[in-house]
Amino acid sequence: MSRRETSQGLLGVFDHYDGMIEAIKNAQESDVEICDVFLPAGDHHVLDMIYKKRSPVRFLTFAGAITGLISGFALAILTSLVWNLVVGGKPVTNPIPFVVVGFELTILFGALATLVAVLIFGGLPFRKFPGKAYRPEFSLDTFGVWLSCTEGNRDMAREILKSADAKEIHDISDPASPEVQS
Amino acid sequence: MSNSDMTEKLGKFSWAQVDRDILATLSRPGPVYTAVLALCFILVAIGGISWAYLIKTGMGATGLNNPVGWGSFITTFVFWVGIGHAGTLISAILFLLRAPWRTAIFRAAEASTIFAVATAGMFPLIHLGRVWTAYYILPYPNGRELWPNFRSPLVWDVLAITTYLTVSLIFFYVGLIPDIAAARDRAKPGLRKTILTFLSLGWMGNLQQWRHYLAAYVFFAALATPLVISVHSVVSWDFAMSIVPGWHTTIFAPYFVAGAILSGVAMVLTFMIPLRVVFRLQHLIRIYHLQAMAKLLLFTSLIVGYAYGIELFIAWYSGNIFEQEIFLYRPTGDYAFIYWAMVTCNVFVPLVFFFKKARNSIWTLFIVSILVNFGMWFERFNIIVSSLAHEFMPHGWGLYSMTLTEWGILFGSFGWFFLLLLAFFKVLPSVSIAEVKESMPHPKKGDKS
Repeated sequence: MSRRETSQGLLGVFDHYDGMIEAIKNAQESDVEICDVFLPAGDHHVLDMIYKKRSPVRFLTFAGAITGLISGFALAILTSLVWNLVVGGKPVTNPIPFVVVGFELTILFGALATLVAVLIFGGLPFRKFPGKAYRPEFSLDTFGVWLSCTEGNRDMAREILKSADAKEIHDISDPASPEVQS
Repeated sequence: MSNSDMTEKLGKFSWAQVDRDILATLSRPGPVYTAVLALCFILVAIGGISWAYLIKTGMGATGLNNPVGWGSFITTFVFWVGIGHAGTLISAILFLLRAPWRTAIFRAAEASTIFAVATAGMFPLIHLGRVWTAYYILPYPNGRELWPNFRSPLVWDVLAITTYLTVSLIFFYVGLIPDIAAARDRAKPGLRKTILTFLSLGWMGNLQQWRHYLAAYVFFAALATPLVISVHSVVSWDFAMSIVPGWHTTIFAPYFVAGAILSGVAMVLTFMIPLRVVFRLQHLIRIYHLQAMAKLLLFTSLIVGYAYGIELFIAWYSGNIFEQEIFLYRPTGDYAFIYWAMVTCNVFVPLVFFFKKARNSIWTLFIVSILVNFGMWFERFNIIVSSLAHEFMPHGWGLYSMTLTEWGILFGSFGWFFLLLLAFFKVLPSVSIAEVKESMPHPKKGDKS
């Protein structure tokens, strides 16, 4: 995967899921780089084809949850030490009721960190929307495969998209006009 | 119905049709919608006036007095927190359990969670009387170095409810992003499109976005699942941590959680049944989904029924005369009507769902769901008021009844909840477009268009 906004190439628009899968497979088997794929709905099969590693969101979630746990206990313990109210000779710091505080902040910080992670890693908010290759029909019922190519392998990229029954092929350097309309 | 059966049925529709049908709910409202909205406005106005009168007059405008210091406000608070349980249960727990029937209904259920918790959050403030001092309970640095007591269940409650509201809101919004993008792409240029473009955060459904979105969604569900269980457990400890007869029991946490899910599922049924008819979504929100909800309602009703029974048994078995007295007082004393209405609505009426014919009948589903809503409010009233009215010493016993001000605020809360829900139905997609598409067969070469 190359950097999206600096890439040139061809965008294939597909009406059919299996056509998109075929284009991805063929691109992976040749030396044409897949710059991006657009999907109307989440699809683990496509993600597994492209990415070999799991999303790093989990690391931030874990870090957030641990921070929350420590913060929750710290808040309860330290504030009870500041407001040193002894009732009936009971200890001022009392870990059992503080579990509730620790638990709630674990969940809260974990969720906030996950939100931050999905925004950072997902490139959101994407300020240059709609980007070079995006088409509104990608949120409806069509799929997009953006192949990054140079003058040297442009014909091969076009052939990959055409052979997989791309409905339209657009030149990303000039996205307004389709290079091939089928 | 299995997952594949449902996929086959949804396969009759195209992805474009799913988009069109769900986004059609955002079109100009019809007369039924407008009439219900107007009714909600009237109820909110009644609630607002009642609250203003309460603030001006003081807590003397309520029926609260010694010995019953917690009445309709705390009852309604617990009721709304309970209603807020179904959304996260359906969206998070059933997501992790891979229950396919959640797809069509979880979005509206999640919205009801947010609005129910937001409604519930107002009641401790109303009950406070002097609402402007509410910030005292928040842990903030101040000149006297005075901090909240983190050993108090009331402080736990503040943490639990605010965490639940925040996490539910994040889960809800993140889940909405692909659907807001779909609405954005179908909207005509104008203010609506601009707002949707802003809210969609530039979502394009590319690989990078889906990869981290799908990973994050699992973590949100995993974090929200224990939170659902903890929130009503913490609410139950508001009572169980005290020594009041009828409250001081270890069964309260699971008993409250089961009751919360029962009431939440009932409320989702109550608004989902008219929703699918008014917005013509019967092909997406099918009788199958309502049947699954009915089974969940029956299951939680049986747990609640067991809790009612075991409370009586433990009171007898404990040999504690105060416990025995309160559990004799509830079904036979001043609030016996409330007790028996509670048992009838929450335990006996849902038994009808043992029969498939009842689960197939829209009217039966609707009527039972409304009765359970009543029953769950009665349950909270029964727990809170009867125990305080009939504590240890006979000379301390007393009665409580709601004043017009309290009734006004109660009705206002229903108006507020349904007002928010109705507004949501017209502003954002009330069924998840992306997840419905995910659960459908993908368009393939050779498919009939």
